[in-house]
Amino acid sequence: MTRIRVARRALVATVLVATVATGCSAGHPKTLPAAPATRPLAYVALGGEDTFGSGTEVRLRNAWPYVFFRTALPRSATLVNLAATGATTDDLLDRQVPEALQLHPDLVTISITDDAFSTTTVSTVSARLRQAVQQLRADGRTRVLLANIPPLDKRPGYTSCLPGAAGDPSQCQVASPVPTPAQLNARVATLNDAIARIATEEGATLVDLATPMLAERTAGREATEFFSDDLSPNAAGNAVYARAFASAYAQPR
Amino acid sequence: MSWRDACSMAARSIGRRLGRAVLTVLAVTLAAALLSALLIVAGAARTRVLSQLTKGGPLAGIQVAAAAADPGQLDTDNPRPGPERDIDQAALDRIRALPGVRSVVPLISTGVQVVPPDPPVAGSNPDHIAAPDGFTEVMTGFDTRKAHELPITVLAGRLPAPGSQVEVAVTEEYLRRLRLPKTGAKRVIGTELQVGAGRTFSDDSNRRGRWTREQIVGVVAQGNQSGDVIAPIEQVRTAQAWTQSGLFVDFPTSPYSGLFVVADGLSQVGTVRSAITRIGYSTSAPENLIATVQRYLHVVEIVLTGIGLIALVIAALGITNALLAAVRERRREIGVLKAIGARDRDVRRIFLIEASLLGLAGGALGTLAGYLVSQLMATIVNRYLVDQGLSAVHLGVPLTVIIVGVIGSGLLALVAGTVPAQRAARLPARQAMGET
Repeated sequence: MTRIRVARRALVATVLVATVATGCSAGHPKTLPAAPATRPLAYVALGGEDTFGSGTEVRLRNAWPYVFFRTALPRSATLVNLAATGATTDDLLDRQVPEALQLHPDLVTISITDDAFSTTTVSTVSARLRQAVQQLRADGRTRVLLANIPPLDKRPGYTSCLPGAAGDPSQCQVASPVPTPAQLNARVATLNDAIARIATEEGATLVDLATPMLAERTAGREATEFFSDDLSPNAAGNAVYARAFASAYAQPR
Repeated sequence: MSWRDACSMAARSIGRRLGRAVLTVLAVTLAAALLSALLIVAGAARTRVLSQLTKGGPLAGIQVAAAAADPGQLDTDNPRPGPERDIDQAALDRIRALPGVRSVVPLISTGVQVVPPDPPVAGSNPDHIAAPDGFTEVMTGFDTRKAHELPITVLAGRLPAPGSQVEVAVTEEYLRRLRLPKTGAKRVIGTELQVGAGRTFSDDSNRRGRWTREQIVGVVAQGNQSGDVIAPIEQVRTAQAWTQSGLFVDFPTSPYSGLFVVADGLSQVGTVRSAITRIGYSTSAPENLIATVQRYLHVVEIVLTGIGLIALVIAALGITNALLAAVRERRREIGVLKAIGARDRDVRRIFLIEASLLGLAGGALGTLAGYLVSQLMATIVNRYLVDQGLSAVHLGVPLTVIIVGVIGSGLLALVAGTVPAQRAARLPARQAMGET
């Protein structure tokens, strides 16, 4: 009988203590736990118009390198975007790669599309690109994500340059001589073959931008959502790019 | 008669006249409750007022700017700083070594680009709050372990963990950018800022950002610091180093953008300021204003304590009255005690113990009641303050309140019981027996 009474009192006391403790803590704001200190991953983005984020309204938030940085990399990572508008593999090799090497990056992404419109030979572009990847990979620890070129033949900055184009001619962003869509697609396909080869041979990870962008075209979203202004994707298009880079980054090295 | 017997008799006497004892204890309880509640509330009000004056920092805090001293700066609390002057490690060490300096907290500031998230508030209902585009701001860093030595008040959440590279706190200015009231401070906690320090490379005219992701862990009242972002000093140093490693740096060269010096006491502030001025730096401190306000607050505390003490004295008179009545009623008992050998001092002891027990019980209950009443008042006041976006009042029970409330009541009751005890002790045994 006494034991039962003692046990009952203990139960009541426990309930009371728990109630008081819960009541005391309920009104307090939830505080976030301290994040553990980790070695920051240094990420450098190299590229041209698309990587710079020219087509987005708030490029520091919506350009794909920033979206990829926020959504796919650890919180402690750092990003330096060295891309420039109109940059080709020439600029990549002469300026961007040396600057990137100063930063001793752990991860580098390369996405250059402007060479598709240039008159530089595919072999020259390929050689520069290979050299860039080799220099970045020379230390043996830097991971390189090398993107192929998405389809460019529907972008207003290009289509408005074509003879008899329905769009506004002032939107034309491509220097003469402007390739026909067939020529452009053939050059993009050749360049993409070369990029895939370089990625395999130089130990880079290939990022397939062409396939998801073609899927967007098939779904009827490309014209309205992606290339509303000129040659570069807007925020929605950049989100597709970022997903492709995230998917490649998730692959084992 | 032993102490044990005296205590036992006093307790029995209280038990026999329980109604009167309860009423007497209640009077002491109410008086002690009034006194302790007044002291607790006055203490909290004092802390709050001084906290507002010092922006949450210590009373003896001195701000040192990376600027030369203005010759006339000691005449005012907040003088205008002179031309820029670097605060280097040597200057920091000299100031640390000054007599009267308790601690020195170095501050570092750097310009950064801040990109808020979209949506900029946490939770499932962002209320269509527009995310502002990126903006340029000043990020201020310090050793967050020494935050208690700085004029910083945390409105919501907490300060970044020491050394963290992924946590920041924001100021009320950030809330204004989002058009959020102060009451919405909690809504930005847990969201993530993109913070970029700029750098110009050798052959490129474009400045490039080194971007980091920083989780907002707290919102602080601005204090005397400018800028939207507060971060651990290591984080700001990293950002500053990135910026200064580039070309065309249009940035102050001072390793520290300011110091926060804490003097040993308010009376030392003037001396320490003079010494820092002689070293060559501009300082500011609200010591004159604080000293004036402290004097006024001290007067208020004296008045409130007086009110409480008057109540206690009235309660003590109640104890005297109750014990005098008890002496009258217990003449026969006193006579019997004396007839069987109890001495005057034994009788006096019984009544004094009885008075002390009543006083101590009333004091303890009253102090507890006073604390509960002040907590209730604090809850009501805090609700109002939080509605206004201000930090809440934290009530503590100072040791002096407990001492005055419990021991003071007991002592006062002891004094109040002296006259009845004396009267009972001097009662001749024969007279006591004969009158019954």
